[in-house]
Amino acid sequence: MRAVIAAAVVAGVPAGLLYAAAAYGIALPVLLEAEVFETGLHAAHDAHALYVSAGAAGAGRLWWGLAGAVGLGCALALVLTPLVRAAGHGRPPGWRAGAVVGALAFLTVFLLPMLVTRPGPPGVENTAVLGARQGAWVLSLLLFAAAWWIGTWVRARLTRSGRGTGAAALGGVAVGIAAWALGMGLYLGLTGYAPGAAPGPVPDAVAHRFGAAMVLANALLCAALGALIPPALRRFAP
Amino acid sequence: MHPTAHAPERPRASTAQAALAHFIPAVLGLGLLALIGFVPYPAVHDAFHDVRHTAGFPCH
Repeated sequence: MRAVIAAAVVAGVPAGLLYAAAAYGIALPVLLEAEVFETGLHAAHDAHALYVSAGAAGAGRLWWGLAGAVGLGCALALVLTPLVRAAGHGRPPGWRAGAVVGALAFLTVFLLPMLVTRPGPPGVENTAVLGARQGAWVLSLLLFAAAWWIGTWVRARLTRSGRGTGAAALGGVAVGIAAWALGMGLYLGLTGYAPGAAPGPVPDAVAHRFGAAMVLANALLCAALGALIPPALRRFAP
Repeated sequence: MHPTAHAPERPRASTAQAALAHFIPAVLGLGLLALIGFVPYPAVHDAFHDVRHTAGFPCH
């Protein structure tokens, strides 16, 4: 277990540092731009005590952002490293295992939840309450795990019934996607959950640029983890 | 006839130990993810505010 944790930290710290660089270089300028519009929206709201002022990035904010980025890298690495190791079935993991797990992490942790929580920069109010969005985020993760299990079962059945490997895999993926969509659709229909950006002071162009920055930074994080976890495992947990 | 030399067997981790070696790091990771992305206390929210927005965690 210590070896797995060591491998995760060795992969997670540099991945988190890269994420911090991407977040500060790409997302933070747009985030600060959006906060200028937010100032009027949350006049009496919590003043984000660690911030110096809207439009500025003080040292405290930057250090906590760095800590958060490295922490996020390590958190994801701690979850993904056992998965990469298990995927190797006792053999040292190669780059393919890391690439697949990194892509799945991007899909599960960032892309699918974004579809159901519709995140935005500061200053963009959401039509759904925070608790409902957090619940939808967690539900998306759980549904993905269930869809993965269902898709794997379907693929195994198709393989046993004589279908080719490619067809069986496609069938498993299609059923898995359908399972996720069905589960999420039931949640939306039964609860009336409807997230989205409420009309507000932040221009759409700023919100869209922030969305693109988010996707890019998060993709870089997952790509870095996928690249760093296999060699870390070969070094610490062969 | 020389007896065949056998290399000493390495102790194999039990299945339960192997499962724990995977499960506990994942639980630690999920706990850290929950702290960075979801804990609602104002000080924690403010500290990780930028990461929460960039990572797409529901923030406020």
